[in-house]
Amino acid sequence: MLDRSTLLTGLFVVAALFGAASDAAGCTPCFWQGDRKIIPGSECDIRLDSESTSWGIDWRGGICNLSFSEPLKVSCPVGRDNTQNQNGLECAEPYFYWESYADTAHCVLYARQASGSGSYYSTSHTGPAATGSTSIGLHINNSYTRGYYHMTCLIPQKAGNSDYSCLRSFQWGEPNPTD
Amino acid sequence: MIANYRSLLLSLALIAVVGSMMPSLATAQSIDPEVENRQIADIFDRALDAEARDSAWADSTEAMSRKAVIGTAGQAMVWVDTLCATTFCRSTLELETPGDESAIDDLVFVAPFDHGGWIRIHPDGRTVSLYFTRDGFGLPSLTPNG
Repeated sequence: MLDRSTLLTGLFVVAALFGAASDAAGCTPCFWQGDRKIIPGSECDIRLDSESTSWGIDWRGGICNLSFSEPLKVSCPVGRDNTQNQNGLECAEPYFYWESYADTAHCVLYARQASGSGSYYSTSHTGPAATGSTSIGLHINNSYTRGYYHMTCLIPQKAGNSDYSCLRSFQWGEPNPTD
Repeated sequence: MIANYRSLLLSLALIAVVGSMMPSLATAQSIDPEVENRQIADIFDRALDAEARDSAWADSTEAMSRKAVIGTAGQAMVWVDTLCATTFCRSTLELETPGDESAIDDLVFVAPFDHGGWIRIHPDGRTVSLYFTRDGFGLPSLTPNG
C-alpha cells in the first residue's frame, strides 16, 4: 500500500517528467478548458511557395507530404467565432503523423488585421525524434477586433519506409465563443 | 387635436435632432487600421525603452537576428537594426520589393524570431517593424493594467 509521501513524490516526478517532455517538444502543450473546434488536415491547402509540390490527402483526411527531400508548406483555416476579443485564442493544436522521423514540423499561427498590415504571430515545432502521432501547442494572446486567424505549417519530408508525413487534424479554442 | 398633432411633430423633430448628433454604431467602433497599428507600436516602443537590458542575451540576440535575416531572406529583405531589452526585441527591416511579405513568413520559423511577436508593415510597403519575444515571454500588455 502506498503511503501519502510516496504517492506525492511519484506525482511530482510524473509532473516533472511531463514538464521536461513538454520543454523538449519545444512548446507548451494545450490545456483545454473551454469548447473548441476540430477539423481534418484536408482543409489545409498547399502554399504557392512550398518547396515540396508532391502531396495528397490520405485515407484519414490528413494532408500529406509525399516528398523525401523537401518540406510541404500548407496554409490552414482557423475560423473565428468571437470576432470582438483582443486576447487571441485559447490555444491551437495541430496533430502530425509520420512513421519514421525525418525532421521537425513547424507551425506559425497568425492573428491578422482584416484590412491593415498588422499581424500577431506565434511559432512552435514538434520535438526531436518524435514518431507516430505528435502535436504541438500554439499560444497567441493578442488579436485584432474583426481580424482573422490562419495557420501555416511546414510538414517535413518523409523518411525511411514511411508512406507519408501528414498533418492529420488540428483544433483550436477561443475565449467566449458564441457557438 | 391640433395641440396633440403639434406635440407629435415636436417630438419627432426632437428625436431627429438628437439622433443626428449621435455617432453611428459603426463609426464609434471602427478605427483606421494604420492608426491602430501606430498605437500598438507606440505602446511596444515605450515598453522597450522602459525595460532594463539583459546585455548578454540582448547582444547575442541582436547579432543573431542580423544573421538570420541575411541567411533566410537573401535579397528579398534587408536588416536595418535590432534593439533588444530583456523580454523582447524590435527589428527594423526593409523589403526589397514593396508588398512582398513572403520573406517575413520564412523568417518567423528561424531563431531568434521563432517564438512569437507582432509584425507591422509600414504605409510605405517596404519598412517592416518586427517585434519578437524571448523564449518564455510574451509581448507587453496593450491595456494599462495588464
